[in-house]
Amino acid sequence: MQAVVDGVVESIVESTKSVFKTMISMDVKSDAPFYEEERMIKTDVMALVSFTGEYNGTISIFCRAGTAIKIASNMLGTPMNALDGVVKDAIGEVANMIAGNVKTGLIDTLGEMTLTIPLVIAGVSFSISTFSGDYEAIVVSSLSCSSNDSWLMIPFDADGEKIYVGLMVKKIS
Amino acid sequence: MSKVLIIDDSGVMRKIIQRNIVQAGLLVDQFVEAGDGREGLEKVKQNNDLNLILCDWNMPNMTGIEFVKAFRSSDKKTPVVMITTEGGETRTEEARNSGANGYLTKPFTTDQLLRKLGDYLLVK
Repeated sequence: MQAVVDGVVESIVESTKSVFKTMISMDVKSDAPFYEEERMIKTDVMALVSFTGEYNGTISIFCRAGTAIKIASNMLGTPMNALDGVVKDAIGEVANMIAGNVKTGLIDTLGEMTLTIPLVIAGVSFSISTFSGDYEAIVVSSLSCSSNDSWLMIPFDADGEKIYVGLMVKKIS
Repeated sequence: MSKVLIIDDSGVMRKIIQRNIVQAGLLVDQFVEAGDGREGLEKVKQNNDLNLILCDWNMPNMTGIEFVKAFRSSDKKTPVVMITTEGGETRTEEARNSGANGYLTKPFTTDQLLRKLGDYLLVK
């Protein structure tokens, strides 16, 4: 399982760099991944895409409101001023592209997977409790179940802005 | 007069595609937008002079591949290019077999967009 996680992390790093360089005109640098208990995560924006197949899980972007606004501004080529629907749409699309590229890059090792449409949640420094431990209903059960699970967080620095791409993955027996 | 329908559930992505088409020097007089495959079919009915359709894959209500199949049942000619995060040989083959003419994976550069769409639109 560790080899699978390492492969997904490597793919997330490459995909994130590619998406930010190509679509957002930002060079990002990755740092060492770490595990974070879900209840310890505080974020303004969370954009998640779940995948199902031989392995089920979720890839999610976590960032501050200002970072999300800057990303959306760069994507659209026009300054955005508030964490509105357009900004949330943009961050969701970033998560979608990262997850889609991870999926494509890992088809040979993880098999065919189905991706969900991105789900974006925004607030002010909210905490999360997404999963019940049963990954089969990730999106449906989100934000209503508490969990002691940990996210594998991959930190990125984009022109001084901190972005985290989180991963939860489980093999379906 | 060239008219392009862009079907994508992300309004931001629809704008990015339009901006990249303009930056690539491809000549488009009018963009028509739809947020999913179902709306795409409605826009097709309202616009019988489309030169090109660009279509995402994963969308609510009706996916891109469902749209292509439904669209091809009545229109065999208007080119459809999928622009999606869904890559891989299985997906591209499914799209081709369903009637899509081309396939572009997100993220894409302006040059990649130009190469994919240059066969269907005039270039400055």
